[in-house]
Amino acid sequence: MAAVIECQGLNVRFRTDDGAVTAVSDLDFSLNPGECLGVVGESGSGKSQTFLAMFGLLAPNGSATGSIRYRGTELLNAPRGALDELRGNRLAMIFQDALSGLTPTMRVGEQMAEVLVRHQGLTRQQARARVIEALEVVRIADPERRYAAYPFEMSGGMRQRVMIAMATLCRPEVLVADEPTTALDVTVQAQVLRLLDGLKRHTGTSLVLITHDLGVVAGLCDRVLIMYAGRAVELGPVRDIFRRPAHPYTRALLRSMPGLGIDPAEDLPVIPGQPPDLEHLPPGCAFASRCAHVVETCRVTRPALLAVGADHARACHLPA
Amino acid sequence: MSSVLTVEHLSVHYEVPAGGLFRRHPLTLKAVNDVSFELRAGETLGIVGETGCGKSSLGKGVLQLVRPAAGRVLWEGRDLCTLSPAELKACRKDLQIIFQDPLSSLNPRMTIGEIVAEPLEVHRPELGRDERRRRVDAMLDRVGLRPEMQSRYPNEFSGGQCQRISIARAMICEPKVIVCDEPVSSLDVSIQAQICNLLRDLQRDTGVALLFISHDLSIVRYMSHRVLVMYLGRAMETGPRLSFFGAPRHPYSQALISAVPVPDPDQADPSRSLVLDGELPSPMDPPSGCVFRTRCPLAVPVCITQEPALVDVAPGHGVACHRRQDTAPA
Amino acid sequence: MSAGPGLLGSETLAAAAGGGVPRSLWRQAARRFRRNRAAMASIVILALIALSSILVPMFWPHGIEDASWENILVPPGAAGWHWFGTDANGRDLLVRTFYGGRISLTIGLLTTVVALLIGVTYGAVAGFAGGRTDGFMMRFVDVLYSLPLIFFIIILVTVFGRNIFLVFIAIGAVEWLTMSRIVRGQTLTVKAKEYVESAVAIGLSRSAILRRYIIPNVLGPVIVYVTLLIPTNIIVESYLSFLGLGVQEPLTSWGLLISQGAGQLDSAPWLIFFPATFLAVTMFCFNFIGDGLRDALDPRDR
Ligand SMILES: Nc1ncnc2c1ncn2[C@@H]1O[C@H](COP(=O)(O)OP(=O)(O)O)[C@@H](O)[C@H]1O
Ligand code: SF4
Ligand code: SF4
Ligand SMILES: [Mg+2]
Repeated sequence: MAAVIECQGLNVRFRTDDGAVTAVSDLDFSLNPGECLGVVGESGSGKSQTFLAMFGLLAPNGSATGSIRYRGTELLNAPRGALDELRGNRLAMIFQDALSGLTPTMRVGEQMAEVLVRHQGLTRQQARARVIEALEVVRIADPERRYAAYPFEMSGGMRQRVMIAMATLCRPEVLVADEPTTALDVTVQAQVLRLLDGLKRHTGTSLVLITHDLGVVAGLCDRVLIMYAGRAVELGPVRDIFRRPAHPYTRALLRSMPGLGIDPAEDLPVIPGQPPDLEHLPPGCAFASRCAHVVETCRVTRPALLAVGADHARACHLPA
Repeated sequence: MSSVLTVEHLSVHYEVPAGGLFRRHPLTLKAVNDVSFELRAGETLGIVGETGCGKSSLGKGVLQLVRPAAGRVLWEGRDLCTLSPAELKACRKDLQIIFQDPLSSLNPRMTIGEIVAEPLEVHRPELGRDERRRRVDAMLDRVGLRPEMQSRYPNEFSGGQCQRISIARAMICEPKVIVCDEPVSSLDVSIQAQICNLLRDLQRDTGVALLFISHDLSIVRYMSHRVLVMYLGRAMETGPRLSFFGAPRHPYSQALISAVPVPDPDQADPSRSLVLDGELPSPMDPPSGCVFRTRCPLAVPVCITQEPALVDVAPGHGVACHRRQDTAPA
Repeated sequence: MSAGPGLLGSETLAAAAGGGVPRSLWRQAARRFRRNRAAMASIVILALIALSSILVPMFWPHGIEDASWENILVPPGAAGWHWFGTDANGRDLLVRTFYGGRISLTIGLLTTVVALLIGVTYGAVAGFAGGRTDGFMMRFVDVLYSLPLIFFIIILVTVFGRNIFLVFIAIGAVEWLTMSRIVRGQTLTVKAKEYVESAVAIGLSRSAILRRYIIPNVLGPVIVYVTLLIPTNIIVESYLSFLGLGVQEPLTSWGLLISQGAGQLDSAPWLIFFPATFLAVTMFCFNFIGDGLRDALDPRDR
């Protein structure tokens, strides 16, 4: 099947007081219809910037090169009008901080209705009915009353659910969720994840779930992209990533998670050191300074993302 | 093991300015309500619960950073709650705290050296400058920072490094108790493990007791010897790690544990976890009887009228639930 | 967005690599400020104005009180060293403009210092003490706020007579109110920061917390406000002089020159043009500097 999103050779750079920062370099991936792609990495690994670039939302000092296509239409550096047409309609994004996605001075229901009126040309009445229905779907109790509430009158979990309802109003084909549960408690996180899971199952929306928590990915995603210092280090089906991780970083990451299954009497194996400086990326493998298997080539040549199995690729010089 | 700190019936209240134009008296928010526990030397007690359930207030109440409304905090035979500020100051040498936000817990205008040396200046003024510097060097080295970094400022460090600096500052006077208020919650996974291991190492070396506050159950399980679960300011369940995680008995603890995502694609399924419905009730206006009843799948009429007491179901394992008999593992 | 922690990450390694000088927040702010062209240019222009206000009256062939009946209302020109022309008494406008600059700038600076001293102390104490003390102290400020400045100054002037020092005191005594509010608000913000709590937790004394933790962190916005307060106070003085409550002849200030020139706007427009230009340029410069400082000290607001 043809991919919905096709990203090739994406580079995102920022000009700063201290020089150029490379937030994303040479990134390739695709998103298939109806699948959920997990994008995992530490903060600063370029997860958010990749998708902000796709939505034309980079900070003013940033620029993107390469190509991101939505069903053949180039999104990178596309004219505003064309992007606006797609954004919120065919492509939607929700953010970690749900408050930033909502206008504080407008009633929640009206903001949502606005989207429908603008993108789908519904009347106010029709829009209102659809919004209330959508609020019910995300299990907001008493949606009629919540329609008239302001964002600050809602809890964090409720706002995140409202954001999901709003993002799905126009039945987008692609929904990008950037750390949608990071700021939430486990119990609320479970509610939100269940919601996203239902969405994927019942509407056929293609989902991108950006997170730093591999646990979240396991239950929800079909494929996983692991990023490190702006580069893709491993990409593969979720089972392979957990059962047969092929990249030393993925393996170390899996081992250093204090899940409920580990033996607390033993010390967690840690990844020493910290991610490299994005202004001065090493010429070779970005993980070299922390990798237990580093060899000479790693420091000089950058490993390419090469297949190690069906649909499973990794960027590492070690023999597979 | 002997207990270093005993907390009895501690309550922490805040006055909240009343909304409404004509209400003159501020309302009282009961952030912590009648919580008791004991902390033993060399032990970690994990405090878990959702945001806003009073974990941090409990930690601050213990250290008298907010003065508790009721209860006692027994420390070396004295009740911290009754001490004058001058008497408290002497005790502070042994009672320290580490905060969640690594950057905002360090004064941006002071160098790392000054930040770490400050507790020594306050509590060990007899030490000369050279001795102080030597100890700061050794402490920085112990937490994994290079001593040359002394002259740098917090804004030049990453979150993980700032947290190491906070740990160095908290540890330099060799305290007996450290309250760790979500110390790794804002750090990346690979850095979280580093900081957790550092705290465990330091505890092994110095025998410091930790009050480890976190909303992350996996981390609490890794860090703590015993666990205390809070909900709306009350203790719901407390017990040794093994018995608590092996067989949680309170419906709230069970929901918390089942909500933790399982890092295994064949077992994880978001549609199967025991999801709590509804929202956390406002702490200004908690439900009558059992505070958890509005979200509890097992609630029965008695839960509305009577607040359950914390009753032992196994040695050292207490549960505050009327239906504790029905929650036992089959 | 999520640029925060990432940005930090990249700075970190500069530190970890051990190179370079430590980058305190002040040092970084200074670097950002130096990059701001408008602000740097403003500093140069202000320095030139200040310097000439000091030096020109010392060396210029005419004195400020040298009236000359032959040269009444001479328009600007090179003739007779009356570059800015002369006034109705035949006094040279150039030397009077620069001399007026001395007075105006001095008044601006001194009144700001008065406002700064009272305002910072008062605001920091109120904010740090908190609770009832804070409430009481700020109510008092509210009451003073409601008194009109002019009313206050007229009372002072009628009781003590006209005196340039009185002008300093009067302006400073009114302008500290805003300063104290700013400092108090900022103190409350800083007080809520976890590092202050950590200072309490290690048992640091209250005065040490105020000195090491509160004041240095409150200073940024105060500095910005100061650069904006100086021009405000210069304007207030002009306004008082215009009403005849400020500086008295034979001394002069930009405000006084403007008020005198305003009467002859049709016949001798240069009388208002030169002092007004200097006043306006000075205002602009201070505002550019203030903006530059704000951006440099708090880059998040950009
Ligand atoms: N406006 C900006 N100016 C400079 N650098 C930026 C900016 N925005 C983001 N970056 C850089 O891009 C990197 C990747 O950021 P991001 O995609 O947000 O990471 P993630 O989402 O994986 O945490 C960060 O390390 C940060 O340094
Ligand atoms: S390329 Fe080398 S340094 Fe990079 S992950 Fe593979 S073995 Fe490690
Ligand atoms: S006391 Fe009742 S409401 Fe509370 S937890 Fe037990 S069963 Fe649920
Ligand atoms: Mg991000």
